Amino acid sequence: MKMLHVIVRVFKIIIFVLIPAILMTGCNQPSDVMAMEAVQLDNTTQLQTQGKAYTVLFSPAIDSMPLNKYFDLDVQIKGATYQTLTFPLDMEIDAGMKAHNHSMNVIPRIINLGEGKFRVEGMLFHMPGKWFLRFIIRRGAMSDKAEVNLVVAS
Amino acid sequence: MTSRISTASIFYIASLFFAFLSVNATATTATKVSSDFPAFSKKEIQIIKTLSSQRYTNTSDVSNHVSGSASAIAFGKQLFFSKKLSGDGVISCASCHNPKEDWATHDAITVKRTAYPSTRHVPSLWGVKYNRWYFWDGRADSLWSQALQPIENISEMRGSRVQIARLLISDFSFRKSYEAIFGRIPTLLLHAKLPFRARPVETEKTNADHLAWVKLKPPVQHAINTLFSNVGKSIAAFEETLVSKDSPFDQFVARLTKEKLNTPTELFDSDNGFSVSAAKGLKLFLGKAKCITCHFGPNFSDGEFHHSFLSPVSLQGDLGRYDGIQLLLTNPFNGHGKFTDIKKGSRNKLDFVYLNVEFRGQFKTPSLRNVERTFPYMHTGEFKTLKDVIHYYNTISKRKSVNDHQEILLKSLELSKAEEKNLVVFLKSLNGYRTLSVAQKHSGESNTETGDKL
Ligand code: HEC
Ligand code: HEC
Repeated sequence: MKMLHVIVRVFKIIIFVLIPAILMTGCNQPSDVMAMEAVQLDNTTQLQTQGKAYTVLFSPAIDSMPLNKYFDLDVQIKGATYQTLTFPLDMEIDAGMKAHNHSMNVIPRIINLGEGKFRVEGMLFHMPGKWFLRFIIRRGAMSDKAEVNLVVAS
Repeated sequence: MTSRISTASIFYIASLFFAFLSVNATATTATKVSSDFPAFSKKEIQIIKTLSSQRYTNTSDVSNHVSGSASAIAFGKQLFFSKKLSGDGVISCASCHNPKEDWATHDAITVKRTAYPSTRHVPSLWGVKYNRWYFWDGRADSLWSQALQPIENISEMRGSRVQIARLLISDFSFRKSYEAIFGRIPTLLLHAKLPFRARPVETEKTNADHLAWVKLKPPVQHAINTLFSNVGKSIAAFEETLVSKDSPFDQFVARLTKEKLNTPTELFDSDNGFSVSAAKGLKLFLGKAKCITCHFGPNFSDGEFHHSFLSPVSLQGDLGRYDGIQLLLTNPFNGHGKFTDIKKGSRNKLDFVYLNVEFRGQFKTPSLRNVERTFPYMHTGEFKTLKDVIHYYNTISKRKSVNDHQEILLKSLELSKAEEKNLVVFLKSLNGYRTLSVAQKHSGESNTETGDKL
C-alpha cells in the first residue's frame, strides 16, 4: 500500500508541477513589444494595437504563412471600433526570429493604397519555427504598434 | 470493493504515467515497431515527404527565355565542356565542375580568387537550378548571369566577352547552333573591328582589357553583352538538367506507407543504402540535431545564408553574403538589368534585397544531395569527410567568437559517437545512384562532341 502512495504522489507531482513547467517553457520569449492576442477570421488575422488606437487585419492569416516562399500581405488598418480611416497613415513592418537573433533577409515593399489599406510585397520567412510579425502605424508624429507571434511549419 | 477500485485506478494511473513517459521520451504516435527500428511520428512523416526528390518542381527560369529549350540545352552542354571559352584555351567549366567528381572538384581549394581575401571551395552543380542565389555569397541572382563570371574571372577561365563574340562569329558549328536559337548575329557586330580581348573592369580602369572595352561604341558593347548573356542562358539551360533523383532515401520515402510502418523490415533496406542506422540519423536530422531548420525541401537547402563560424568576421575575413549583396546589386546582368527576361512590373526577388551587417560571414546553405561524393566540405573546403562535418556541428560552440553574429541555433549538439555516426549514414543515403551514370554519359558524349578531354 505504501508503494501505491508513492506512485500516486509521483503522479501528482507530474500533473501539477512538471507538466505546467514543460508547457510554460517555450512560450516565454522576452519581447520589447508584447505579442497580442490574435483573432482568426477566415484566412485573416485581427490584432489590436498596443495603444488601442487601431485594429489591424491582415491576410494570409498567421497559420498559413508559407515557409521560404515570397508572399504578399494584404493589410487593412481600421479604427478601434472598426471604422474606416479617412486620415493619412503610414505603416512599417518588422519581422524576425527572436530565438535565432535575426530579422527577415528581405525588406518588403509597402504600397499605401489609402483609407488604411496597405499591400506588402515580398515577405519571406526563410526558416521554419517561431517568428514575430510587428506592424508600426504612424499618423504624423504619433505611432502605435501591434505584434503577434506565429509558427512557420516545416 | 474500495480496494478493487483503488487497485484498478492505480493500474490506470500507472499506465498513464508510463504512457506519458514513453510519449515524452520518443514523441511518437506511430505504431508498434521493434525497439531497434526508429518510429516516426505523423508530423515527422509529413516533413520527410517534403524532402523527397518527387517534390522537385519542374518550373523554368523566368529570367531566361531559353530555360528548358532542348536546342539551348544541347548548345549549352557543348559550351560547358568547351575549352575554347577560356582565354588561353586550356580550361572549361567542366575542368572544375567535373561530372566524374559530381560536377565539383575534390581538391580542397583549387582557385585563389583574387577579388576575395580568402579562397572558396568549388560547389557541386547537382540541383543547382533550385537555388535562389548563386555562389557561396549569392552575388548572382540567376544561373545564367552566374555563368558569365567564371569566363572572365582572371583566376578561373581568364577569357573575355569579346573573345566569346569572336568565337561565335568565327566557329562554324557554334555559330550555327547559336543562330538557330537566338537569330542572326547582328551585322553591326559582324562588321565591327573587335580587339583580341576586351571586358569592363570597373575596379581597375587602367586594365588593358578595360581600356579596349571602353574604346568600343556603345551599340557594339550592347550587342556583345546581349550575345554574352545568351551564352550564359544556354549554359544555364544545360545546368538545369543536373537534378539528382532516386537516392536510397527517396526510395525509402516512396516505401513510407502506413502498412509498411507496421512491418518495418520492408521499410528499411540496408542492401540498398537505407539501413536502420540511416533512419536513426534521419530522426536526428529532423529532431535533436535540428539540421532541418536550414537543410529542407527536396534540395535539402533553404537557399539562404547563415553564419557557421567558419570565417571570422574581421577585416581580413571573408565577409560572404555582406560583400555578395553589394556585388549583386551593381552587376549589369542582374534581374534589374537590360539582359534579363523577367517581365517589367512582375515580381522580382532583387527588389527586396538589402544590406545588413548581420550578413557578414554568412554563406549559402549548400544542397546535401550526393553530399558524400562532393567532398571536401564548406565554402572553405576545410573538412575532408562527413564525419568531420558532423563532429564540427556537434562541437560548434567552440568556434564562436565575439564578433560573430550569434546564430543562436547553432550550438553544440551533445550527440554521442553513435549518433554522429547515424547522421553520417543518413547523409550517405542521399547519393543518387542512377544519376552518376547520367553524369558519366555526359562526360563521354562531350568527348566526342567537342573533342575536349576532361
Ligand atoms: C577554376 C575553377 C572553376 C571554373 C573553370 C568554373 N568554376 Fe564554377 N565555381 C568555382 C568556384 C570556386 C565556385 C564558388 C565561388 C564562390 O562562391 O565565390 C564556383 C561556383 C559556381 C556556381 C555556383 C553554384 C551555386 O550553388 O551557387 C555555378 C553554377 C558554377 N560555378 C558554374 C560554372 C560554369 C557554368 C562555368 C563555366 C562557364 C564554371 N563554373 C567554371 C570554380 C570554377
Ligand atoms: C543555421 C542553418 C544550418 C543548420 C541548422 C545546419 N546547417 Fe549544414 N550548412 C549550413 C550552411 C550555411 C552551410 C555552409 C557553411 C559554410 O560553408 O560557410 C552548411 C554546410 C553543411 C554541409 C557541407 C556541405 C558541402 O557541400 O560543403 C553539410 C554536410 C551539412 N551542412 C550538414 C548539416 C547537418 C547534418 C546538420 C545538422 C547537424 C546541419 N547541416 C545543420 C546551414 C545549416
